Amino acid sequence: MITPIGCEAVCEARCLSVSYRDALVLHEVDFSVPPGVIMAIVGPNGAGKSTLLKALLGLLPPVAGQVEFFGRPFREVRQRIGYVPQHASVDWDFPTTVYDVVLMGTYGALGWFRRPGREQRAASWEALERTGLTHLADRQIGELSGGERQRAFLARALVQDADLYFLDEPLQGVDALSKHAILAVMRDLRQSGKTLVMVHHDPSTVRQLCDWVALLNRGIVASGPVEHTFSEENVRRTYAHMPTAEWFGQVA
Amino acid sequence: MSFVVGVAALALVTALACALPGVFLLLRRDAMTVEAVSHAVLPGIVVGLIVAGSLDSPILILAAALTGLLVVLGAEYLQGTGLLEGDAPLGLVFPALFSIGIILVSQRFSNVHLDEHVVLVGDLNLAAFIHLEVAGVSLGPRYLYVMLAVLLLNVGFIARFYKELKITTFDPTLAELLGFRVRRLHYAFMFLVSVTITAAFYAAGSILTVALMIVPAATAHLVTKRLSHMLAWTVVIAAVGALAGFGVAYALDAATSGAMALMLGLVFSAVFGFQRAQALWQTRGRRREGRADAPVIAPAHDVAREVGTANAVNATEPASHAAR
Ligand SMILES: Nc1ncnc2c1ncn2[C@@H]1O[C@H](COP(=O)(O)OP(=O)(O)O)[C@@H](O)[C@H]1O
Ligand SMILES: [Mg+2]
Repeated sequence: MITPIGCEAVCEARCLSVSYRDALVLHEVDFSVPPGVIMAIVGPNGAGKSTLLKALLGLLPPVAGQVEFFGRPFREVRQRIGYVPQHASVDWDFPTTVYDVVLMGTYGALGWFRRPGREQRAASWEALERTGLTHLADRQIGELSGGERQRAFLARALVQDADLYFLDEPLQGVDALSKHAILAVMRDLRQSGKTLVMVHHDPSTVRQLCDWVALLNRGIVASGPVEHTFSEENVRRTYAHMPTAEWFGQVA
Repeated sequence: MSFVVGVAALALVTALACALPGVFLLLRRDAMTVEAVSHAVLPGIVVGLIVAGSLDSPILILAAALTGLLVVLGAEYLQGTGLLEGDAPLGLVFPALFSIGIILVSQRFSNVHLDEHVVLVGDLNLAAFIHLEVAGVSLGPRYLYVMLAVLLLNVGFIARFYKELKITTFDPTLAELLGFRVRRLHYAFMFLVSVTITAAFYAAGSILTVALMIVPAATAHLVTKRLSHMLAWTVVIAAVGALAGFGVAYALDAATSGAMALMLGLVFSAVFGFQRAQALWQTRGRRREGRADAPVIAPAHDVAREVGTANAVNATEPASHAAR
């Protein structure tokens, strides 16, 4: 696995295998994220991209393999890792406002018992501001559009003030305004030295935004800097069993 | 305290003690679990009665609550095997425990004063019968103090773990990532629910206890968009339902627990019907203005869901502010 010379990986998985009951989805994946990049995880539907993120974060118990963040196990550095799920499987009718949802991002640092105070409230307002949701703060969470919901969950990850963010298809099905807001925040985060890992399909965005890419299909096909790794050949191999000609037309 | 006031107070405290945890049970979609636990505590109650001899003994309540927790653990174990899905594991466990309880009740052990009728709907008047007397002054039904203790326990738990209950209910995945022990809190909470159900059992029976737990929260859910407001409204609705139910039962000389559940049901129907009518009226109004296709955010979330997600997508539309 290639990482920039002299840099410790912020996330490193070795020989990670994951299965749902008896269906093996990921087979001996070696995965590593260099610090300070925006990394794209690219692969066909059902390739195991979401599964990889969940396994890295310990939401799915791996069959085999190890994962370390900043050279430590996840539980020791959980506050430094943010996650924006693909389809937040929350109850959209839950009696909670957008502001409240964002505030929940601060709960981890507070631990058991401590209540959010002035500092946490200020951080939540700032995150709402950064994602352009200030005017919707008082809405019930279910009253938001898809893109706004996505931004709310991004804002929630922002208040956590993590060093490493995992975003599962953050641009899928969002409106143009939300897309711009989300991309701006991501660039901003990289600027301030954070690392982002994003599941994403659109080849043009990968080229424009991302520095690093991992091509995944049940295993890592290739991983490295976008300009070298995101090649026609590698993408073709990743989508091997799919009708790729059309898709690849956009990449070239 | 006179007997009538004692019964009313017991009705009120029982309703409040049940309604508070009901908020989280409803939001966690655990209504079916309440049903299961309320049946499963029965063998624990009967065995506790044989051992402890009285329904307000703390030993009995703890023993029965543990039986109630058995159904939660058993069902989760069965679910974990992946052989059964949905509510099937619950449905498998609680009738077994309930039937053991019923068989025990029907044996009529000499010191077990329970019959199948009390098991189902409870008997508030019976529960309020023995008064606590200190120096010849009646301080109200002895059982009132048992329920009061349970109410305080619930208030204390919810106040202490409010933030944790909120995050584990709304987004268990995030809670887990942030390091909260989701399962541990779940079991602690379910134990508390089990204690509450056991304690309320004497006054409301297994079926009506479920109503006392779920209906006030369900009504409050229709009218609020904040958890703190939902808790407050749940308390108000439970109190109104309990006192109105008591009044009706008193006037008609009917069973208090049944009247309470009926009143709560009526309040729910009224709120629900009112919201439906309002949503309909809003749609009509808009149609008259030639904007039939304009988005409507109905005040009730379930109505909003039914009208379609398209509403939520266009929630920036000013018309939607009518909802608030
Ligand atoms: N909860 C689950 N139970 C069983 N199989 C699953 C589950 N989630 C995903 N899978 C399967 O695992 C494979 C990878 O899924 P996923 O990681 O969601 O793919 P991707 O995110 O790359 O589209 C798919 O074949 C999917 O059907
Ligand atoms: Mg996915």
